[in-house]
Amino acid sequence: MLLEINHVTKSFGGVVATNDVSVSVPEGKILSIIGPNGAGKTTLFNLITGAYMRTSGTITFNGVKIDTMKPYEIHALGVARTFQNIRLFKRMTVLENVMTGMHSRIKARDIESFIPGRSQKIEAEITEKSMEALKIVGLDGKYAEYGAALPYGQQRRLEIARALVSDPKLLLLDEPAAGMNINESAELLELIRWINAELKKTVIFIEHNMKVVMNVSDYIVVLDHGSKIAEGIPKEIRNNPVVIEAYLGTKKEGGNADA
Amino acid sequence: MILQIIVNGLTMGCVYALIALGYSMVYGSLRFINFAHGDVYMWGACFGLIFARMGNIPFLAALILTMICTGLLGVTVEFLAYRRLRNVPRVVVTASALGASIVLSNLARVIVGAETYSVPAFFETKYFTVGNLVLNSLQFVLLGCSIVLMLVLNWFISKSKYGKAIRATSENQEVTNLMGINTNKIISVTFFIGSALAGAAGLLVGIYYDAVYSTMGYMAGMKAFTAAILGGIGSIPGAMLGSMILGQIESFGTTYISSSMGPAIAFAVLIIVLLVKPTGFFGAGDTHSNRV
Repeated sequence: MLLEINHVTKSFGGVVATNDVSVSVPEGKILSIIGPNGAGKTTLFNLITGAYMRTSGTITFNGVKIDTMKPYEIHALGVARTFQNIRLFKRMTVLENVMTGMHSRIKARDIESFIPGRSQKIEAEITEKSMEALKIVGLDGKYAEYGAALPYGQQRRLEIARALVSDPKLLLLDEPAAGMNINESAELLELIRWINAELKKTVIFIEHNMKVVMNVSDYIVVLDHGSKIAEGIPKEIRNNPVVIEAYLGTKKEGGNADA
Repeated sequence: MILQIIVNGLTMGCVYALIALGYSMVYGSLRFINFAHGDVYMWGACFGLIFARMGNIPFLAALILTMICTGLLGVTVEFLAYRRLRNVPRVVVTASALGASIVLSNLARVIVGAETYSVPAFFETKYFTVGNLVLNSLQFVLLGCSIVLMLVLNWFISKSKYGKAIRATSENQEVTNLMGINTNKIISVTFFIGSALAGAAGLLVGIYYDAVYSTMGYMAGMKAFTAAILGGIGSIPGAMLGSMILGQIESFGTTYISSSMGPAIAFAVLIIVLLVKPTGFFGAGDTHSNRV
């Protein structure tokens, strides 16, 4: 297992945001997390990446216990993410945004980045890798623009590039298709598949669009009110009565549950 | 005459800029005013005095050593007085900064002494006259050093890996951390750079006025802080522009209105500017966010 979440609970004061959740993610798969608003999906991402500290339970990544580590230490092990509410650096260009994701991946002594000649070599290396990541998401032509000036769908892609550039083992995408039109989300679907198949990245993503979820996931975990209520392959989830009641409402077939 | 006033203003403007940059950079990443910064500047003057008294250290070596010493001093202050206060209301950190300020100036009084000290010359002062303009070599050194330091800083912030990390940290610490950057380390780098620049200013002013005393950080710190606000706190070009403007206002005010009213005029202008534009020249308001 690449990622193992073991009986993890997170409470904020009296509010239990994540309640005794266990999830195992095998390497090389695409796993999606679904559930109504407030189900604790993003909280789970925050727990995995170290933005929040779990109240109890353990999280193991690639054999290393990460539940008490700092975010940058977890990132160094190969976990990178995007955000539900886009968190680009607004005062930085598209390229610079991606370059921040490479910061910790350059094996150079700190002092070297303060010496003009050496610094330029380091910068050239970071720039090259960052441009590659931009090419993957199709934004290499926009490298000089400000991230915040891009259309919404492209901002989401830019966040994926910023996460991808560090060459993570595990990529966490928080509602990557939110706010996208049908064409954009179809393209994104292709991108996620490609990243999984060609770059061999394990992907966990949070998504509301059931069509996307059913199409792209190897495995689905369903959360509701902080607890895991179901898990399984798409076919099982589609026909699971508990899920249909909690999440899909009265619809029998997996239409768009966004409404 | 006018040219002379402008050059004098430019000289002081450069000094304010070197100090103001530290206020602005620290505000950028931690959102509080580091009131101990003026005392780091004073310590720069003290280190300069110590190196000058040794007699055999060339000027450039003394400058670099002073910058390293004050840089480390700034990092130490951050580590001891601010690091554990990341998630408390900013007013608490500000109180801690005031405490650090008093500790630093008191330490100087104990270690260096309570009097005003004259600085042994690193080099001979020469005077140059260009038309009506009288310049001395100290002014050239002060202007030259400040401009070079500011150009290097600009390069560092816009082009280097750590410069980008500093900018990212100042926009959103939490997200920067999640992108694999140890923000505590970046904040240390920020303090080192800001304090090294203030130290350079202290040494240069100590030589320029031939006077070093333990309370010299107060007024200079206040003015530089004002200049940073004037330019838009958090903005690096803002700190530079605000300082240049403050230097000119003070220079013209001192000449044409009253020599003892210089600071009062400068601060009066500040109040007027801020009434019209509360965010300063380059300030975009507080867009800071630390949420995920």
